[in-house]
Amino acid sequence: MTILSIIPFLAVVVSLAAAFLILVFGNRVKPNVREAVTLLAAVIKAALVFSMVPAVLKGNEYYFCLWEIADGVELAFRTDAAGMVFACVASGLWIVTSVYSIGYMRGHHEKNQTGYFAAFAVCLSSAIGISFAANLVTFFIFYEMLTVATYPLVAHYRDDKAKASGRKYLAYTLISGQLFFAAIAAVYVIYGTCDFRAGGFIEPGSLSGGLMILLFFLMIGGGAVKAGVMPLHGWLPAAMVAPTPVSALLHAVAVVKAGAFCVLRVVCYVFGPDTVASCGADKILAWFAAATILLSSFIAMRKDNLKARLAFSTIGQLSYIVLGISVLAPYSIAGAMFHIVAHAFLKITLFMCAGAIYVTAGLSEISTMGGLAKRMPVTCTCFALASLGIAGLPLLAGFVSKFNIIRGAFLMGKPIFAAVLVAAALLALSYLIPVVRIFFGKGGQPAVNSEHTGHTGYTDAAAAMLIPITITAAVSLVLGVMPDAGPHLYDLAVIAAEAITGGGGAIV
Amino acid sequence: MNFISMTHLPVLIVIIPLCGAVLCPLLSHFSPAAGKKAVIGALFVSFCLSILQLAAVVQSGEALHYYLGGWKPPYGIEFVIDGVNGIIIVLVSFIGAMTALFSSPFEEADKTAPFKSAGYYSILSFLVTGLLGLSSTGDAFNLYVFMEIVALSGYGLIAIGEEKGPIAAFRYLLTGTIGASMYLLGVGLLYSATGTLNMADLALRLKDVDNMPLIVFAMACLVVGFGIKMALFPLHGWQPAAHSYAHPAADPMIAGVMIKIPAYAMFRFFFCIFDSGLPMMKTIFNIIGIMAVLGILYGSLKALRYDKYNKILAYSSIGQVGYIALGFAIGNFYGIAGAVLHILSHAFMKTGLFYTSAAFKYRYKIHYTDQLGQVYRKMPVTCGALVVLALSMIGLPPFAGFFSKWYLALGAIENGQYLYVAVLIISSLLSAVYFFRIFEKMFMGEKTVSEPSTQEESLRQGKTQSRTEVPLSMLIPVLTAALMVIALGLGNSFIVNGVLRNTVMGVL
Repeated sequence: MTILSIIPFLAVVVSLAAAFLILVFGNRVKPNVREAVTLLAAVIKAALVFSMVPAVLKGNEYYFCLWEIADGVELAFRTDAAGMVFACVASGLWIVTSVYSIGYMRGHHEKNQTGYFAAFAVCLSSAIGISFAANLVTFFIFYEMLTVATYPLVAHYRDDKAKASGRKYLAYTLISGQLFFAAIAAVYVIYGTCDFRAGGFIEPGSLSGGLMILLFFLMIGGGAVKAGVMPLHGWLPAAMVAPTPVSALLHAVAVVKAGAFCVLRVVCYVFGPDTVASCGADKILAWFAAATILLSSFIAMRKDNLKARLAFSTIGQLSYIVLGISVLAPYSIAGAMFHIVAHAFLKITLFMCAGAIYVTAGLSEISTMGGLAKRMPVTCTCFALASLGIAGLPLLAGFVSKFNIIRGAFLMGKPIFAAVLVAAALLALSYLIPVVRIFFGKGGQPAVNSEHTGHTGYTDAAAAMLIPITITAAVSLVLGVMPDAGPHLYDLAVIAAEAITGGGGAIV
Repeated sequence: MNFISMTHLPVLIVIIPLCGAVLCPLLSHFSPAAGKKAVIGALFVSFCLSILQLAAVVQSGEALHYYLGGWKPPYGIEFVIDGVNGIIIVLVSFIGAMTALFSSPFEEADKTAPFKSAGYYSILSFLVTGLLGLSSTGDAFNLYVFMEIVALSGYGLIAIGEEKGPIAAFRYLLTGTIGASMYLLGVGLLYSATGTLNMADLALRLKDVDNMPLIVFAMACLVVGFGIKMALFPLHGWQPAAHSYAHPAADPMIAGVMIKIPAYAMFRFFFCIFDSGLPMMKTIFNIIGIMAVLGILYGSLKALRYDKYNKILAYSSIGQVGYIALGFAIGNFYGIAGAVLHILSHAFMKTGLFYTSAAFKYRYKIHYTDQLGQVYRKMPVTCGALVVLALSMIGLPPFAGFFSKWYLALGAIENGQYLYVAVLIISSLLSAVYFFRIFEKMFMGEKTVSEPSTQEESLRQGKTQSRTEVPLSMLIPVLTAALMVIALGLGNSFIVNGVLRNTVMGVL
């Protein structure tokens, strides 16, 4: 059943309005007032999004159409199960990151905080727009909005390094975005519609094989770049120059997840599993994803900078999602969707820990962090927990998603991908556990970069950073034990996967 | 009274600015401000009437015919208003009124020479009159007359600009005269074959003319004539200098609107007068298409090489005019709709960008992008508008520039002209390069603007402002342009389906 309601639209615009207010207030009001706008918008947004969960769980969809945005195409929002998963994660984590951002930005005495919080709010608006968009054009509008709004965040420090990263980010995203645009136009001309439909609206064999593959990769390129699938990942490590909350946003909440979500929409809601399988594009995509998973793990091992190591870990983890989708089995699609959730909570924990360590102790290189757990026990414990989760240990969120993807791969008769996933889990252990060991090792007194922090004595991170870290770590634990806790995200993922594959039927 | 004004609307819209232009010097004799006010008032009245006219056209669903002096065509001159030129007339009068308002701070600064200011307003009003007449007329020779009014006032406004203005004006005078002569030659040939100058009559009688060489030659003359006037590659030689050195306040009108109206006239000739089903039309359209493609690439590449803000904008216009010509070359509904939409959207974008350029010059004497460092702290509203306008120029959603590109791409794909789609993409990316380069300088550059120019300082004595935005009469046009770009983007389907569809489908 379709429920006509303005709620999806409100959920999108509330942070856009917040961004506007923040810009208008600027530095004319006290920072507390400015940040209150952010937090208020975050809470309202999350409340709006979560209020739609019960109805969606019952198989309903909220729908809201503004008007025709172009001839024959509506600016419309539809909250299907898949969109709800992404929207819940993004809006829920916005509250957490906002609190953390305030702690980090103030603790670090960052400049240009007004622009920072405004751009952050626009990013969130785009993320929700992406998850609720009912057709390709609406999706693309928010997708490009996300690109533009992320740019000032990546280039936040405004020095040469930041500028170079910003340029790199734009080069990757704008080029792929323009190709995406051409593909959307072509799909609209050929098929006369842009509306997402579970299972896709492109009939198998409606184009010759080569053309279909071309169209598919033109379109998927937009998603693959943001999801950091190799060889299109170059912007992601470069974007590490940005402040840590931005990295958390990029890696966990909005940008890379928007890329993964784009892959999901294109594969499952535009082309449809049957069409993708019949032209063979799924295999190509799956191999790229598999290669990315392995390669990124090897690169991550060699990185001493904590954030860089985490960045390559993200590249690998996102390809889990892409691989899960391109396996095309119901289980693996559900698993991939749930990995959007799991990875979000795990990776945001890791990044927030890295940021807390940087602000509190002034350390960014792993080799200097010996014995850090003595000074920052809570941060280090949460880091350890999230590391295990990334590796996919049972009882943590990462396990649920990976298990499902592997199960799907086996059912589809693609054990090689299952093997890749298992190997990658071991590799993840090998690059994250050493960090934990250094933290808890007997490395004497933990070092401190007093030049950076201005003091030598310190204890655990400030409350504004510590509370979000513990919350996300706790959530990843809870989701690992009970995937259906809270807003039933696992159920939503399963509902979406069933809708895509037509009730669980295996696809050949 | 109401009845009279409604029936005479088409001519009143053109006559009122003409009266303003004539009365302005006269009134200035008595009071320096009266002339200026008369012109601004006349243009605003004309704008209001043009909206009434468009509403009448849309409501009746058919073209409005007005016989000047009651002389029936084909002997008398007639004005024909349909959806396409109805909306273009609104555009011209709107931007004309805005530009007149925008000019007032520039001319106020020159209190010693009251007549100079009156002359400026008078010429500006003549320019608008010419453009309005050019858009309204249904008579080929009358079109030439208005074209010359436009050109002559254009020479004046360019010549009174910056130091190199007179040279640029002279160059435009030489080239522009050739263009007008070519047009006249083309019309003369058609007259010799048909014995009529009325456009509708021409269209009828041309069907019986089988002297193909004559028609082809006439078409070639017209392409060159309009090509020069709209600065279509390779006939653009006069444009960059003229657009860079014209009077800064009038430049928005010259760069934003003056080159668009010949493009509209091209549409009139090639779709309404010539039978677009003729076999050689395909060749003509292909030639226009090639000119457009080369122009788009040339303009975008050249814009990369310049550091002077106006030059960048001028070369970008060569590319953008190519978009319009490309739409005509595509020649189906989406192509033409995209072209007309781009006439509207690019008019607002380029006018708005030239407004910002003039604002920078007015406040800080900024001519080069290198001087823009941190200017956004001083002029936040202007810079905000610049960002919106530039993003629209790149063609990012949800701004107007994206949607004209969308329709052009749809049209090109429908015709199988994939090269055109590729060119659109490349041009978007190139413009992203030069506009984001400006953003980088504006937001991340070294601080270069410290204090307002001395002349300005003396004017502002006594006033204490924390920010140094431009005066309200400049700020309103800047903001309006940005808002119009957003409104045109979000509401494009109302224009395409509500206003343009009837007329365009009628001529295809």
